[in-house]
Amino acid sequence: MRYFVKKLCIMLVTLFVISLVTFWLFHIVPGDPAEMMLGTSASQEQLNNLRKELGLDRPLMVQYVDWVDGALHKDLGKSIQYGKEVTKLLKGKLSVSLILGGMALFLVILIGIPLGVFTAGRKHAFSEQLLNFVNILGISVPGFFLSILLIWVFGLVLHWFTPGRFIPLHRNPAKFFQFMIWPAIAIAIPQTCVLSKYIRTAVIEEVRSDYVRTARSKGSTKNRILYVHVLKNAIVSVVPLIGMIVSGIFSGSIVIEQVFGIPGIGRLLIASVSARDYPIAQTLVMYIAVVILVVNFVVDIVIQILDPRIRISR
Amino acid sequence: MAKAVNTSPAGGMKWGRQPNAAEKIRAEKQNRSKSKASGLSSWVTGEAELKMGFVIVGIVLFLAVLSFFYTPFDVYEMDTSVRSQAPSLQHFFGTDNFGRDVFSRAMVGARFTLLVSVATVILATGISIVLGLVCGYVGGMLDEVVMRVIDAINSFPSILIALVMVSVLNYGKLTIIPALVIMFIPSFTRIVRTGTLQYKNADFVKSNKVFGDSDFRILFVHILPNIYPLLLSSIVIGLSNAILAESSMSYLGLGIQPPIPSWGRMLKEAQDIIFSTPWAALAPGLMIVFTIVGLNCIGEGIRKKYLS
Repeated sequence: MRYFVKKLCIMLVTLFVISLVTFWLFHIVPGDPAEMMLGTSASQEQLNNLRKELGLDRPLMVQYVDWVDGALHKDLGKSIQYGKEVTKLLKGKLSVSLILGGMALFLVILIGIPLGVFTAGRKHAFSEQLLNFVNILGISVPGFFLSILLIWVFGLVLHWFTPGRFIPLHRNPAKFFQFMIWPAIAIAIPQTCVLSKYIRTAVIEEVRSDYVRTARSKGSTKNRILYVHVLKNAIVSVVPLIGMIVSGIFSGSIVIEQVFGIPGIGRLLIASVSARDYPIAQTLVMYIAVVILVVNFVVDIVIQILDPRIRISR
Repeated sequence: MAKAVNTSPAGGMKWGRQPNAAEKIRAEKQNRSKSKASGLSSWVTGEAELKMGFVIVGIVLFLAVLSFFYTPFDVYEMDTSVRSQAPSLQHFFGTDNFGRDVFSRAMVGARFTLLVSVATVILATGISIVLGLVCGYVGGMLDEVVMRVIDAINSFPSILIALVMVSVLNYGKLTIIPALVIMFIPSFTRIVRTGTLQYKNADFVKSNKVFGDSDFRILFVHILPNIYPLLLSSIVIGLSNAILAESSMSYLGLGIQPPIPSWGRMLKEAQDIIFSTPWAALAPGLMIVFTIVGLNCIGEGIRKKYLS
């Protein structure tokens, strides 16, 4: 319980620092929203008036407090580019990105873990070299190139889906998933390679322990030992990686949403960064920060529950 | 019950059935012939990986340097008579919708991508060495604060940091370099710091201290060289990540601006014309994959060779 509180405090402090830095970074940039909205032809007086109206003439600290206060009351300010409320723009986009990320994470875990155990069971074989090479290849292919290849092969040649035609979930769930599986695969492949490599190392470490010998001597089959006894222990050492994988999935989806034309937060983020639409950009950065911090927090707690050894050593 | 267990002495200890004597001899012979062939064993020690990596990276570097003197076709010239042609003997990877040779453009594209990633990694390494050595050696409050910040940066999606930095630093031809440097400082710094902690209290450091060496000399002359092998493999792998990041950024339109070709930019342009000329994506994409595979092989090879 003390650990839980401590971790919670650390998370909140980190969140506070990140929000401070993000806000500060986006406000030291030359060219404030008033200049962006009025263009270069505006007079100094007009600029000053608009700044006053938007509250940009106040000290930075006051603006920050205002922003945080607004964010806590679901008021994130207005987009410069679209002139709409940020909350309205985000509506629907968050869920699309979350579903995409969730699908990718599901694929990573579904394929990465068995693949890692499978390769660990076949040490020093030719298949190890082959898988090693496939692994390097998987990590090396940039997500956007992989996506273009997927669009080309499965979209244009095999016609398994229509490239560029995103169908919202509520209109046709089957078509939605038929489309979304491809970007999910493109995001998942590099992360799967990373995860399976770590699982493999962890399993090879575990196979040397005493309980494996006990299980063998009582006559368990090789697969039962690997997938039931060893995997349970190996996963504990891999759980901390979930945070890293989630952040990798975010990285991937920011770019890959762009390739497949999925209206998620990744696309909005890039559009807002290119157009210097800071109210949206800083909201999205904070949103991603919150997701990642919460995931890391949950991972920390889960490890505590899964592995009593760590609880004792602290 | 007890008897049944005794009849199979140590039978269940090994995976599956125990080999009999003849099989054992055969297996040993096979093992010996394997080690003579040295194909597999050199993979394990990383020799083969190193060789393969150097060959691959060498080819890419050669193509990039060659592009200064010779390209099969002019990279900017638009020839309408050969628009959207499929790969052929004249145009190895086909032509794009303007009739430009894709392979020539991919050769020139290597320059900018390689320049940016090498510059990024050199800068990041320099900063990280100082930061890591000082943090590891001094310790205390400074170390704690720097490590917290580094952890925070590290937990973020790398592309997000680059995006924020690019927008904060204003567009420019080389803005991308400082934006990417920040992505690489955390992992490099952590490696240097861990190494410094490991050698800080080693006997040779202590004896040098007794002889009156300055802290500066101890850090850079005595501790740093010990960290090199570990750092080197991360630098090479960092280089491959830098290429990946640079091409992602130019793919998103936040790196180099047209008409200068860069791999990421070319892929973006290829994607726009994917319905008519899908092969335009092949040359730049394969160049990226090729380079990164090569660098990853070198990195893994160094790690296996010096750290096993």
